[in-house]
Amino acid sequence: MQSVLTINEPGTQVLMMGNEAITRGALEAGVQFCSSYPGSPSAEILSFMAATAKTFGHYAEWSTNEIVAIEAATAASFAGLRALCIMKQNGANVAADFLMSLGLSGCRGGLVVVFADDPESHSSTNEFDSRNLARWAELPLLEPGNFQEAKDMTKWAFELSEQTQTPVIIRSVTRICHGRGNVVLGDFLPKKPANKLGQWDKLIALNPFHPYTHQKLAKIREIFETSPFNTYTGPENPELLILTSGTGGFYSQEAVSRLGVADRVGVLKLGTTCPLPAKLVKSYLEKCPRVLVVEEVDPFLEHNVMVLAAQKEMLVKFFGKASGHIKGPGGPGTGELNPDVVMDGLSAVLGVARPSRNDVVVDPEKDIAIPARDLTFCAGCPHRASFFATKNALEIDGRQGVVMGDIGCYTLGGAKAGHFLLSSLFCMGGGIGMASGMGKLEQFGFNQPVLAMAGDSTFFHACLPGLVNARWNNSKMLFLILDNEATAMTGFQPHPGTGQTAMGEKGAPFSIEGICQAMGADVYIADPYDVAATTEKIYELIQQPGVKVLILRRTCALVQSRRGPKPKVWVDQEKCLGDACGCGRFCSKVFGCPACIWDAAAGKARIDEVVCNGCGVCASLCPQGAIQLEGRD
Amino acid sequence: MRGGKELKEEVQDKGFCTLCGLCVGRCPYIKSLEDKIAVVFPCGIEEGKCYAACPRTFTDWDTVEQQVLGDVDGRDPLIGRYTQVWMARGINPELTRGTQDGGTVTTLIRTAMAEGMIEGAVLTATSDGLAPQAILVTEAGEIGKTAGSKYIAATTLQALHQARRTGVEKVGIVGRPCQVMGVRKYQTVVPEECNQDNTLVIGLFCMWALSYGFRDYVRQEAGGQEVTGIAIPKGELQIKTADGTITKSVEEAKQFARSACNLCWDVTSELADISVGAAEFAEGWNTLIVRSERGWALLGKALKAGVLEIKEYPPAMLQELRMAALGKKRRVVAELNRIQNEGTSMVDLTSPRFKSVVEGEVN
Repeated sequence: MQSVLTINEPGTQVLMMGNEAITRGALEAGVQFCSSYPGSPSAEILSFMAATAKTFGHYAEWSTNEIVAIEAATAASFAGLRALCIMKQNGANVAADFLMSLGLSGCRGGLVVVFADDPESHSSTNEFDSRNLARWAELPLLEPGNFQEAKDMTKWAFELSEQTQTPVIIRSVTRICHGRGNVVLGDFLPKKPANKLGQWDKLIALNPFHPYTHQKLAKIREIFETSPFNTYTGPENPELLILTSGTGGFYSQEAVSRLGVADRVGVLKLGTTCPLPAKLVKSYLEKCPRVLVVEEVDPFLEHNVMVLAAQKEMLVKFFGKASGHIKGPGGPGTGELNPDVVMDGLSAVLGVARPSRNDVVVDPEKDIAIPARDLTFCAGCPHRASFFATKNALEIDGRQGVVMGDIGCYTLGGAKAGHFLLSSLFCMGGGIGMASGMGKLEQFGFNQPVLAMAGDSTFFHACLPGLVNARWNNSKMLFLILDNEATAMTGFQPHPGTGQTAMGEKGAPFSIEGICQAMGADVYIADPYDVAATTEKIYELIQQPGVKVLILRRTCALVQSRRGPKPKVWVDQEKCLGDACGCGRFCSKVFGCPACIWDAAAGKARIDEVVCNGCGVCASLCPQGAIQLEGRD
Repeated sequence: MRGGKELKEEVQDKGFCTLCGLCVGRCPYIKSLEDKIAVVFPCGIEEGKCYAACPRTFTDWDTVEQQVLGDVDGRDPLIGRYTQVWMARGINPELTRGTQDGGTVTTLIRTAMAEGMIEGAVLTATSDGLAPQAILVTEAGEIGKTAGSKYIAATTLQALHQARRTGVEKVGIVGRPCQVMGVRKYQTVVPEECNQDNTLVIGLFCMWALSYGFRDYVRQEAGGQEVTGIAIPKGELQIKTADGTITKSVEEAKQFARSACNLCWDVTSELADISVGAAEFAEGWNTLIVRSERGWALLGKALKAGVLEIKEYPPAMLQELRMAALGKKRRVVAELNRIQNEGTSMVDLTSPRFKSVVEGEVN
């Protein structure tokens, strides 16, 4: 079936999601090898690559984690192929050890790495600016500011990479990845076969190559000076120059237009931000030494241009994050940009009034206020039951056991849905590592039970060294592996435990219990839907010394609900005593499943059958046995 | 009145909980495993039945006793009101298999069920004498599985709620003194859930119950051998394994006595319908104390059925039992005074019941 990714009609304009545009750019460049670990906002790109692999003859894989992904992609580049590697900002950190060397070694076939940042951390634990990593790794950086650029820059990045034998970073953000806009399609370039590696073909990252890295960057800077991705709009001699990149381009345009200052303000939008095209920027600073820098998240461009001004002994007045003009509710350098933020800064610098933030009129007759919603698990989510059982076990135990959290759907268990159970939260695999340390603190008088929690995909991604460490050093801890047989948070991508690959090949699934047993841990398996048995098992295991692993195994309720008819759950209205029960609406208030609702008219509990996925855990919790379950294994 | 929050703060967090199990399983907020009971979530209820019925919240002994036993004459300040004391033993070997001393408790509860006095029994089972489990038994044949003493505190009363939920109206309960008090307070607080007329309470003698530390100790002593039973006859701890019996001093076991037991005033289940303990002076016999009409009726049925044998209780032995009870009561009153000074009033220590014990007016 033809799609915006596959149609071969150069010049045609189509509507594309940013992640589609990046994919299309790589396809047009004749990409041959793609690797990634799923993470929002970039997860779709590799899925698109996998879906088009047969059509275009490229290879796409979900890798175990990001550093393996970049290593694999670099290997393809070494063999002369064009390779694309995709990761979110946190993933860039995982890949950082290898990336830091990549500037030294350089590459052969075009190697493009997409960093997808999540400012405001819509679906991340934390926001940060991966552009710093590109500069640190001494790799050239491109920043698309719209959907056309997302495609065109990706395509060009392969060319640039091959031309300079340097991997190229493309930094996207959530609003580019998940937004949609018009894109004019280009042609598909032919692919080259893999090179044979001779005895003296080496790809080595050693320090003697460092001067050459700098020579290559100087060459790239020259190329950037004349890049068409750097654009200026505005008067010949503006009163104020907005210097921006990425999403800041659209927001700046909108702010200038809404404030009606197009005749006073020019906008220089850079697409090639590092190394900074110094001559180009200097020429604009000479025309207008008053600059407002608009970018998300860090003052990356701002600092680079400040350094440039200092080097050139230019007297420039800077407005932006350092001056406090570009800031969201959390202050400069935090959160997302939007036109309001830019308008605030621009109106303050220019001394003009800005339209009120309250100029949107709400009609209470027509407009419905969106009710506030808790961060919570889906109906039927096995994690809700796992947290419930863990909470029960720790409270019964009474020693205030601590749970080290990790990254995945179950991170939401740090909120009310998981009874605020997580004591720590850092990065993929951070929980087991911390638990391995905390499980060694008994000699210092620390006697609380120590638990770590991680999902199945996270287990393969980053937990293996932590578990080895815990077992090797005989830490006293319980590792709960929440195995829902999916990388659920990012859209049900397969992982080693499922055996299936990105391109749909079915292989032997990895056994989590087999791996843990091989590491010498005592391994147990429980079904979180059986809350009583799971509670008992957790309680039992936290009484014991050594490293214990408990796999809480239940297929993700959303995956399960797609496989067939949902089990039926309903409240026997005769048996439910309502508020007379004394249970305090336990099913809806304490267990908190979104499908467990309160029928105010009847004064009784009810199951929202549209939302309910039929896990039936609530049926086992109702003290009156009023909740009925039918058709679940 | 107070609720789950206060139950947690005033009883559980202070280590006063007896593990009677009454608060467990009545509501979804309170859960139990092994020797722990916890209010897992705050229920927000200000007047909780759990608090009102707990044997370790303030208890008006005089009033509860009056309600349970009425005006039975013969109140003994040391072993409670009673009408008769007997030596007793079960004489039907079918019924007494696996029992500890005379098999009287098992014989009585089977008789109660066989005679239709009860439809179900709230009992304590164990596979190895170490890990007790509360169970509701509704088949007479199942009762044998619960025979024998359990030394680790069991949360038996949680099965009382299971009985109510499964429609078992007439219930027999075998429990420690704290559990007998739990049942009696429950009958007072929520008579619609636990009706005195439909409940038969067989109380056990108890000086202390053990914590789960005892299980770990025994398993260690058994050295990997499977433990098949535990007995504590006459100052001796016997650990039975497939390889034979390991003998230790009872003091080894006593170190695992729960500190909450130091606050237990009642040695002989003074508010039961009928109380049973060992008769340490006569191997294979029990001490049996009849307290209520219902207890008397049960004894009559057992005798009539020819499954129980009784004989006169030696007065000197009764005095020995009373003095043992006095010793414990004196220690407990001192403890109750101490915690009262720290702000917890568990009983009315000005009542003659308590004062007489301390002031040496009893003998």
